[in-house]
Amino acid sequence: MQGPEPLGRVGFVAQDTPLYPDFTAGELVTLGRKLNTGFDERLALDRLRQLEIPTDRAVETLSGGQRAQVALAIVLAKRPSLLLLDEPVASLDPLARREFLQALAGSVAEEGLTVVLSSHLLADLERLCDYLIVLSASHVQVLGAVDDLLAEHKVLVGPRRDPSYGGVLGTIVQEHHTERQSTLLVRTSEPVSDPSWMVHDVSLEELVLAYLGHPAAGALPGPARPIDGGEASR
Amino acid sequence: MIWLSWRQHRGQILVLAVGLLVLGALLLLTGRPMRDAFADTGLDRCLRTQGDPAFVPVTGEGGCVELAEAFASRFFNERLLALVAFILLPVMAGMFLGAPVVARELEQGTHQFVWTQGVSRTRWAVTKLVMLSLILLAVAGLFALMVEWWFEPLNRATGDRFTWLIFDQQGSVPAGYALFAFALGVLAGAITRRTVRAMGITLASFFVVRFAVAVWIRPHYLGTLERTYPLSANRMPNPFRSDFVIGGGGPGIGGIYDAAGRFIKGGQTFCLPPMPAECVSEYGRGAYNLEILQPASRYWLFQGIETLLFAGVAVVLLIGAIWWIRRRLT
Repeated sequence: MQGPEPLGRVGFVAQDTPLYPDFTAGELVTLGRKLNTGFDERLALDRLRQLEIPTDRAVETLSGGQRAQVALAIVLAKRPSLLLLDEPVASLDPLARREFLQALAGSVAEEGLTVVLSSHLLADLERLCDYLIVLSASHVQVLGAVDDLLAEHKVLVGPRRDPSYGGVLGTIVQEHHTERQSTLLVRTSEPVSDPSWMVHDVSLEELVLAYLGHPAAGALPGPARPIDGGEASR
Repeated sequence: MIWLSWRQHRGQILVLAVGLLVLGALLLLTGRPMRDAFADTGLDRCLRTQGDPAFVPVTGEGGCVELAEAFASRFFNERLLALVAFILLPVMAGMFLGAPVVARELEQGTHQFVWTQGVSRTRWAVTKLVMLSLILLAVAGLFALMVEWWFEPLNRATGDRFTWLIFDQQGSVPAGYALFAFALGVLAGAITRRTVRAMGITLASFFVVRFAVAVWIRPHYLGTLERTYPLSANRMPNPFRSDFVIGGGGPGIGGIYDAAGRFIKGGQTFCLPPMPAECVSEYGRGAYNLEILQPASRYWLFQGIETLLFAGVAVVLLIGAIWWIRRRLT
């Protein structure tokens, strides 16, 4: 990112949303207007007013959630076509986190911008993101549209089988056996026909944890269709 | 960008302005009585009458010497205090204005915020550094004028403004030093990424460079001149001419030589005529002083050379800092 040209079209909010602590939110909006062409000052100020964030107090006196909202208001007023967020909600309390993600989702719906965000909060990702990339030890381990990933992974619960059981079509990502019962997480595009299995849907959290817990399993789902944007949501 | 630079650094700029005002008031308060005394004691008139010859006659009454010595000892403390205080001022610009420029952004993480607005890092850096440099130069210029006014009677009474530590506190060189210290602070802050560490590095390297330039480089901006005069004569070098006599002993460096031109010892000696016996017995008849010096007439030339030297290095350091900001910071 060297020239101003791409800088103007990409918005970025770093982890913990660093802002000049002695600036007021109003001054930060002014900063945005002075440093960006096509900055929508009205939009930023309206957002802050709706959220009832004071624009005349130094941002270091605001709560972490309010600061994150200030950062989001400013970055959205740049009207970027791509927005990069690095763990935007990692340090926020649950309520502030929900409000932040709601605000983000609302803007995504209105503006049609692409958002790439990194997060450890899997439940948030499931709610917000269309597309998922799991990185493990700096390698891509899971890649795909969230809906496709959820559709092609199933949890099977049934009478105990041998660990090397090969009776389902597809790949076993994770298996767990007790005396009498086996639980498998499988990736398969076929319906499971064996009636001795109880078939459950999988949550995104279970899926990601299963893969992260078995990095050697090497079960890398391929992209279901050509990648058209980025890591997360559209 | 100018708005942002001003908004971010207005506190420091205010401190600079207030500091300048306070210093101005102090200089005015102490400088007025000094200038009054300089005129009222007749020292001013005496020195004007004497003019600026290279040698003055040795008379028992000493011409202006007694008046001048009385004046110098009366304001000895003021002069000493000023010399000590002013040697520290320029480096402050590096520690408190220069070091935080990049380092504090990196410490607070705000570089990630400001460098992802629609302004390139280069423009960010150039605008900030140029603006702060110009403000610093303006402050240093006003400082130079005030100090020039304040030091004038002391310079004339002591005949000493070209030698070490005194040359360095007046004229235009403090502005060069301040700019150099500022650039040093900016670069150290960009490389170390820590304000406090950058302040320490600035302080240390500033004085190392200042010392090296003053002691080893300054005496040789232009070729030195030699001056010889007898140990005892009716004329002696004019003590009110601010020549820069480069001290130190050793053959060829300046000192006392015997009639055959053999080096006896370093330093200079003057025995009041008629030449006393102990002077004769120690050095022999025909012994003379040899001085290696930069003449007083080169004072402003040397001021200009040294100012440009430091300002030039400052510009190189600032360009280095901009390069570092562009290429090395992530």
